Amino acid sequence: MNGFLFPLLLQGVQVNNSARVGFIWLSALVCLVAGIVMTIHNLKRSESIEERFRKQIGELKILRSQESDLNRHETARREYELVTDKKPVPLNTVLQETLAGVKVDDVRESRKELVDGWALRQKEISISDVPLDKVMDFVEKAESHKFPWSLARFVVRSAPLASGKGQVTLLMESLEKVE
Amino acid sequence: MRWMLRATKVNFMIECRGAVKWVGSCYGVDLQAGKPVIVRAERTRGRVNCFPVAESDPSFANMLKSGRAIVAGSLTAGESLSCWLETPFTSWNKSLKVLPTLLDVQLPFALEDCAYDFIPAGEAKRTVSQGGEILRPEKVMALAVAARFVDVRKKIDTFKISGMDPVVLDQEGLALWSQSLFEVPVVPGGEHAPRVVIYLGSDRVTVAIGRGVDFISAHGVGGQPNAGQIARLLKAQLETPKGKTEADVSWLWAGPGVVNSDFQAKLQQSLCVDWPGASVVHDQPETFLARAVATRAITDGPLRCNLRSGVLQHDMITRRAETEHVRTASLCLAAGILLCAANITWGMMVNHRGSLLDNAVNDIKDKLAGFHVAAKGENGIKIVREAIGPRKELLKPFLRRFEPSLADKVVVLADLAKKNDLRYETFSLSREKVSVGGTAGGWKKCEMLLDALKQMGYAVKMDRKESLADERISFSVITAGGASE
Repeated sequence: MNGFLFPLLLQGVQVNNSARVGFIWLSALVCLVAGIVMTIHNLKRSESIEERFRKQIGELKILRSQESDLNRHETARREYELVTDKKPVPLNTVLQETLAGVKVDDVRESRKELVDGWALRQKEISISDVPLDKVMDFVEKAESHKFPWSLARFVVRSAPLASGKGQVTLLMESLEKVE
Repeated sequence: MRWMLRATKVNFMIECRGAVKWVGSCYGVDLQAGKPVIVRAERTRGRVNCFPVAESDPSFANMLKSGRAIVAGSLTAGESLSCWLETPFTSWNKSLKVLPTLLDVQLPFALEDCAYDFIPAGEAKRTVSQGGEILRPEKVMALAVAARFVDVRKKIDTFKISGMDPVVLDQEGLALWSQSLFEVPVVPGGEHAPRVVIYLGSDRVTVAIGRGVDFISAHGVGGQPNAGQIARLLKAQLETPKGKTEADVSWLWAGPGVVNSDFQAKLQQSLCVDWPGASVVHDQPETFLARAVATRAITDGPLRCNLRSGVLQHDMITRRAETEHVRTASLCLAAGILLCAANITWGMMVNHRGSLLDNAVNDIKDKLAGFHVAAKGENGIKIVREAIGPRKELLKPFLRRFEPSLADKVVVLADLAKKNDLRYETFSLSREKVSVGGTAGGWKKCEMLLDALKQMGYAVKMDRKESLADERISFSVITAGGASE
């Protein structure tokens, strides 16, 4: 009986070994084919992926530059928030200091609301027949205050600038926050 | 046939793989009238050292008992045969398909009853003469070795009587030939000289004949041959078409019959009458064959073979072949898995990177806009711009405070007028626009004003015309857009 069973068992082991090797080869073939197919697929995809990434990076760059630009504006606003007295010096005071005796033809004032309680104050001052260097003194004085006015527009009419006098219209701007 | 497939085939090189190359040591056994002569061969850093081992050696006995002893033996020249076959092909792979048929024709018994092996010939440019005929080197030459299964079984049984189960059964003639060349190489100038290795055993004599390093044939000539028998063999194998040998024969002797025996000297003397030449007795001739089979089993070299093949193949060889099969298959499987894993990993990395970018873009869009922006690409950027545009506009006055004063530009333009004979009749300057009209002392002086305004960042255009009355050039400069911010 043993003499009969043992060869069968041996044959069975051999068949199992062959089956095992065959299974491994089959698995290897499947994996290799799958790997090759995936590689080809990924190679084909890579160009479109690269294009997609390039676009996304481009978008990100644009958005970041937008963000940086907005941050600059916000930073400028925050600088103003640090100032304790958020009101400019009255322009009439500056006018009297620098252009005493000069007749101001017209003063027009406007106010525009900005953000977070801030407002933009604008004053258009028209002065005739005024020495232009004195006008520049006035502008310099107004701009040198801690909470300054600044020159937004400078118009000279009626007389050549070189003559030193003329009819001048100044648009002065300042920021203000009512707390 | 497995070792044939492993032999390197470049230009039909001789190198063949040892039958049990993967082990570092084995026992070589030469059965002399049933009594074994045993050596242990150990391979260290490419060199093989052989040590005689007594049959009663306890460590050898233990190794045999535990089944760890790897034993190499041989089939005698009388129990096996070797013959040269010429194929019509120049490719070894093609030749392998026809060699069994060519061998079958040569055998006096059926090929199915044999264990056989084919060994590739030497370099194609060498010639081997057989029976006086010079064979052309272009075609594949193979040395076939064969033995009947019944003889192989008998040999295995003989070994088993001594408690040994040989893993390798070499062919005696080839073993003698290659070991002789290894221990006593061909002298320079003797590449074509006849060479004869004679093994004097206690129950047999084997003669291996060749020319230079080329093996021709091996023959068993009985227990006590005379010179005449050997001389006839030489005549058949070595005589040229002209009927003469061209050079002295190199005689090499081995085997237990060489030690303390007159027989070898007398035989030598008789043979040198017709076949003169130098005679050399190999060192330790009694263990020569045992050394030969052991060395050949564990090293690569010429003319390697194992006649314990086919259905009689030793389990160790079978398992090794299966292990190598499994290893090769496993390597391929590992390569396949690695390739798949690499691709999957790449895909995951790409997706991850894509997600990171997507998230970064979405986060910044949502943060800037103040609400979730679902649109992608140009549309998304447009929505963000429209969302932050109004706020930026309202914050611009804050930023202007940190820009250079407009008054500085006025002063620069006024100085320019003084230095370059420019008379401004109308002058209007704001951050975005400029409008200047007047006259200039020369055509090029107008350009000074234009350059200065451009440097300040205004995109301006100028009109000029000759004035007939006072030769001054009247000009007007207007901005096309605002000052660049």
